[in-house]
Amino acid sequence: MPGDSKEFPLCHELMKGRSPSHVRELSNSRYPLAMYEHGLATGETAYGHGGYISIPELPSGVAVRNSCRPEIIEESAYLRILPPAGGWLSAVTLEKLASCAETYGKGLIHLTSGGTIEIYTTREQMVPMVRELNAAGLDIGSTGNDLRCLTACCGPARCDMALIDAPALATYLGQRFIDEQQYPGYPQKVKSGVAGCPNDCIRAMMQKDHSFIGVYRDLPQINNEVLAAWQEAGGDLAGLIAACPAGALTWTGTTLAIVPNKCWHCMACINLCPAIRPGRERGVAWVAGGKYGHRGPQGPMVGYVLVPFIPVKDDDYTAIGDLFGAFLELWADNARKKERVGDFIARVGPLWVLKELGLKVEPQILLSPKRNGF
Amino acid sequence: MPAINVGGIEIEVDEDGFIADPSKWNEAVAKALAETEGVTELTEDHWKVVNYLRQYYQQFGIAPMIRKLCKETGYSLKQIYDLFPSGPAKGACKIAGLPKPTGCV
Repeated sequence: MPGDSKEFPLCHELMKGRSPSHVRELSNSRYPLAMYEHGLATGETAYGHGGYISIPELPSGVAVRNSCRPEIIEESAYLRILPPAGGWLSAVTLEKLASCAETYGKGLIHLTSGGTIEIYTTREQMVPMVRELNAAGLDIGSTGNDLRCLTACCGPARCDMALIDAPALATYLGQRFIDEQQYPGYPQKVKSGVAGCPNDCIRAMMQKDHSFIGVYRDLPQINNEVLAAWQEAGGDLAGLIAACPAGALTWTGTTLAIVPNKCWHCMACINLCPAIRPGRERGVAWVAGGKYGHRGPQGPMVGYVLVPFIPVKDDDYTAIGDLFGAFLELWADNARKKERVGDFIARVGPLWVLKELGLKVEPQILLSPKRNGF
Repeated sequence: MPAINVGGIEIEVDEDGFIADPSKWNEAVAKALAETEGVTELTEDHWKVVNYLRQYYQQFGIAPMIRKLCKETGYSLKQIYDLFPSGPAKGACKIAGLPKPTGCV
């Protein structure tokens, strides 16, 4: 632990207790704790605005945070590494990342909220570190005005709710649009996420400019035998029926049924009861325009459901990739400088986007997108 | 202000190495600026990009948007980076004698 409690008293306060402490992690690395202590003492971070830096050979994936205390640290440059989809990292890959962080960086790795992996280093160490990462099958990208990394939920690799193979689709899109992730040529950043089912555990619809959500178009399937066993084991049938946001579940006295035109195809009953499973006709809903950011005229917004169902058969994602690529071109050609996808669609109108892309306009997806898109 | 030497003449550049007075640009200056960006030889492909940037700058007084540069020259952004390792702004615009772009290129 660098320094004693007298040197960094406020940091040491944050290391007390049994819960994991971020300061403990920082202090176990070569992170300049004096910078953080300065922030805690003054109520204002010691880091300034940052941004793009030009490193030959590395068009994207490199950036810097400026320092307001250059006598402690001149600047904090970092590499942003594209993550494998679904958040899967083997111990071998973690060891490689750890070795790179030790050799070229400060022995510290940052898992960002956007899904990428950052290693703090210096400008001089960047190219050698990228060479070593490349040799291990990793690469950098996802900074500036480019296509940001494709994030996904864990998908069927370990979730029984997955309607589509979310990491597989994210990996397909990531491979197909790798240049767009590594060469910043767009008017603004574009974030994307793939969720295996409408539960959307990765909050793609709220957070990402583009989200592809696994959906089913037919009705949930009810197994009345399993239902009886579930009730016998204490399952709350009245609670289950009440939980349906559309009021589509009915109990006939002996069996449970779903009123077809009422069902919203959400996951409420499926999440609650093991006797109800998702329908078998599966595909992807394309939602565009979500963002948390407060910049732009629309502020934070949920995306528009532009296409409620794109069928996915035999793990062929070509149609989704074609649509994604066509939209990105349309947006990049027509967006204003620094205009996020959500602000763009709000300005030109979702109908214009659908028409330009040659897609069928279905009024219900715009009038009541949450209800029943089919 | 720093300067680069082109055939015995000092050409002033700003702190990022961009030419201070765009009217002093000529092909020899371009070659000297190229060397500061690690471009040892200016090929026909380089000149196509440089000439387009100059023509656009002379007409509109600013650097073109990055997508426009790619579409008009026919090079992908990846190819532009292959030609100019520092990228379209710090590499290509600098060699073309444009002032430091503030926009998207």
